[in-house]
Amino acid sequence: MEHLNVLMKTSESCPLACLYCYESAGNSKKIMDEDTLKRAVEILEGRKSAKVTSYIWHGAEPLTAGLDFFKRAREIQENFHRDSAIKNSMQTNGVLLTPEMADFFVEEQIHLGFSLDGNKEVHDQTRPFFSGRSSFDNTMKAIEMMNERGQNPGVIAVLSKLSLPHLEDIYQFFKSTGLDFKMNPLIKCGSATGKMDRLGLTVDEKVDAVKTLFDLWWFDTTEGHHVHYGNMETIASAIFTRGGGCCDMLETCQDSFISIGARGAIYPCSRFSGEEVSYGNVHEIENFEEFLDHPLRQKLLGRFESNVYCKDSCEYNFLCNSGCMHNAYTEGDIMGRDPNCVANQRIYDHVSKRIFEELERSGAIKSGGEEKCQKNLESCCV
Amino acid sequence: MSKEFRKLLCLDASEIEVGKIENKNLQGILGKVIEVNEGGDFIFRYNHKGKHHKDHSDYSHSDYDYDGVSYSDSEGHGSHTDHADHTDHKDRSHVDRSYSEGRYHTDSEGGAF
Repeated sequence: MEHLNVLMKTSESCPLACLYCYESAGNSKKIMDEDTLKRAVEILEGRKSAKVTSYIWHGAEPLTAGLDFFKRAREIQENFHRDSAIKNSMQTNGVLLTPEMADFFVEEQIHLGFSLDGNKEVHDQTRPFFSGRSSFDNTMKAIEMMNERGQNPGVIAVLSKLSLPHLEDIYQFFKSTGLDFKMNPLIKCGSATGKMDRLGLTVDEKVDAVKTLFDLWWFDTTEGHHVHYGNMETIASAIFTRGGGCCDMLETCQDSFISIGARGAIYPCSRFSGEEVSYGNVHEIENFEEFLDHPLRQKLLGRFESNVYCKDSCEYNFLCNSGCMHNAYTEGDIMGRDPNCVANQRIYDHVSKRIFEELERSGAIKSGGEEKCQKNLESCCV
Repeated sequence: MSKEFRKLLCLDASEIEVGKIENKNLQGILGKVIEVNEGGDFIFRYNHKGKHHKDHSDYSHSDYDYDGVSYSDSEGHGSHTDHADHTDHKDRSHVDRSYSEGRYHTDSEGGAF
């Protein structure tokens, strides 16, 4: 595995009590210990034909591990890596970020992404401290710290039912702050599982919300300002490149992604926890190649091929490749269809409609191209 | 699948005049997905990650474009120039070259989408 993305779940702890946390953080104070960190890096960097290892420091909240943890992590990485390259990034709520940490992350080129659900009114609905106090100013202060140091962080916002009345405000907020953003619809997992009636989106709600946000971005013609709306750019690009772009649009993510939990458990993705979906533990295997042969991994590698409906019957399969295995898992069958597929198909249609409208409106389809489109309309395949 | 989607899928990169497009978001996207092949033709950057393989052992890793894939639950790369998730650094060179030739103007969080 030449290029490997590793979601390192540094900690099971978090100072926030987000309504939808998929780790159900707060129940554990576990931080990855040094033996586990060292063993994980040793196995990862010792793999055959390693070229690049991208460490994405995740949690619950990774900064609960403290600055010394990340200083030690960098030392361990440097000790174990050979000729391969190492990249580091982190997904954090930022509330524990200090200037000393910020300096270190900039110096070590650890790129931070923040979790922020939008403007203060929207964010405070879903991401409070355990006391109920707002975390908005703390996260914004952390973002400012990184901006001051020239790192220009990006943001992930969770799109829930509570976001729906505020979609334009959310878009305008990210635009006004100059933050690149993704809007990830809430998933049925962790703390959100029992709150889907209150927080979850129906298919229609999801489609309408994403279409609204997409159109706000697509038709935003403000001079001198460019808004990066990450997952929409990914989808629009994937239509031209015939798929790929994000981990949930791959035939398999298991040839380039794994996750390691705070206790050393190896997971297909950071969205899994517990023992049911696990490849074992870094303390129990001799080397990376042992994990490659794990029966569950072999099964997941074949998820697309075994998903007959998607492979043989769905016209959109070249884009989503059966979608996300974790989403499928939340509906009871990890090898099955991604339950988001119904909404996603409608969103793909909307995005492609906007693209084609613009190509036609601007006269950008060269002579012959339009004719070919019409001629092939009935028989076109991908 | 909508008619527009089908029509879009029929287009080759060489059939699109990017310089005529006013929408800057579409301009930016096409700048990332169109590249020039060895013969000097404009083509869509083919994403090997999305390709269907019958046999996973057939992967030719040397041909892989790993730079095209991001993780849905991380966004630590706002600069869009220096990380694995975005392809700007590679593809933009094609766009710039085309410009110069005068031929081309151009968490714990929620679910992935």
